[in-house]
Amino acid sequence: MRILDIVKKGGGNWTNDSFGKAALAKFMPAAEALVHRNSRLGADAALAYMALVSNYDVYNTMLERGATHKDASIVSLMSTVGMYGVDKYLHLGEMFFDDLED
Amino acid sequence: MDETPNDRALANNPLKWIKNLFEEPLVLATYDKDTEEFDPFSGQMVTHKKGEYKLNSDGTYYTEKLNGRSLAGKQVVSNTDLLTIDGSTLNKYDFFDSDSLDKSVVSTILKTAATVTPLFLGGPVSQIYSGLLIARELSKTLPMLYGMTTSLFGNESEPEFLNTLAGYGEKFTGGVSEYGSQHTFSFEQFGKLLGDVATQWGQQRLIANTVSKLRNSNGIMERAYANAKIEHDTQLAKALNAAKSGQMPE
Repeated sequence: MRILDIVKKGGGNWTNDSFGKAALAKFMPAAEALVHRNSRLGADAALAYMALVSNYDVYNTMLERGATHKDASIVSLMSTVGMYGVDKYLHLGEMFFDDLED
Repeated sequence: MDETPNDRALANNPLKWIKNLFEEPLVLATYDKDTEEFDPFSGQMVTHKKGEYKLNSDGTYYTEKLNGRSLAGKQVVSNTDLLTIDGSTLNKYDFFDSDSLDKSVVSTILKTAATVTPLFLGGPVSQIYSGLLIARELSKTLPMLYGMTTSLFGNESEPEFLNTLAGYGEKFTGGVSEYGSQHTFSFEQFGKLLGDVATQWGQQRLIANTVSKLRNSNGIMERAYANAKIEHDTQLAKALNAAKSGQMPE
């Protein structure tokens, strides 16, 4: 009987019945997209951090060799932005972020 | 007498070593500009170039406080280089010590292992360790960040307190031996590279996970799952009611 079938399904794992699948399909994709966006943001923050700390040597070496603060700052800024761009758009340095794997 | 790094070594004076952790960073004394001065050894006036190491009356390097100066061209005395007295028997087994002329393979392996081990201890240890490393690295970049922001608008100054903070960052960073600093393709540099890659992996993961946590990624999924369960129950109840009232097709 149909009613019995519905009750039986409701008493089991709710995600496996048709109502459950429909409900999950309604709510989960949007949540997953949001979580993926958060992971992307986290990875971008990590890449920005790495680009920043990697260029500290550039700044200091330039000052050591007699560059002005302005020149050293501009070069290290460009170098930092460049490194971040390469890492982000060539997907280098992201191999550690499992959450970003499709 | 000017103080040498050995005067602050843990094995020599533990209290001084601990006090040194919190005191202003020390650098090996160098000339900040080209300087002409009387040399007591040769009895002549000698010109010292900017960046050249100063020597004390014993003819050895000595330390001076950073005093808010730029770190460019300065060698900050690392706390890990001050555990044992240079040249002592204990110093031969001090694998953290990297201010000697060279570093053995065994010493390099042990130092690299000690650097990465906290990452694999799990629990809060690896997170705290990575967090401290992030704080250390960021403190070193502060003068650069300030420079990036202000020098584009014509400000050429470097705040002393940022230099001091950067000095603290350097103080807690291990160095490399004289041989290692001059040979990029040395075993010591390879070990340092391995240690850096592993610790940077830990730092990157911590940053990525922290951003996810701050944006409540777990909560978003749990809420969506709970909403789906409510939706399921509502639709199931509706279907049961419909069936009970005879509206459901057989």
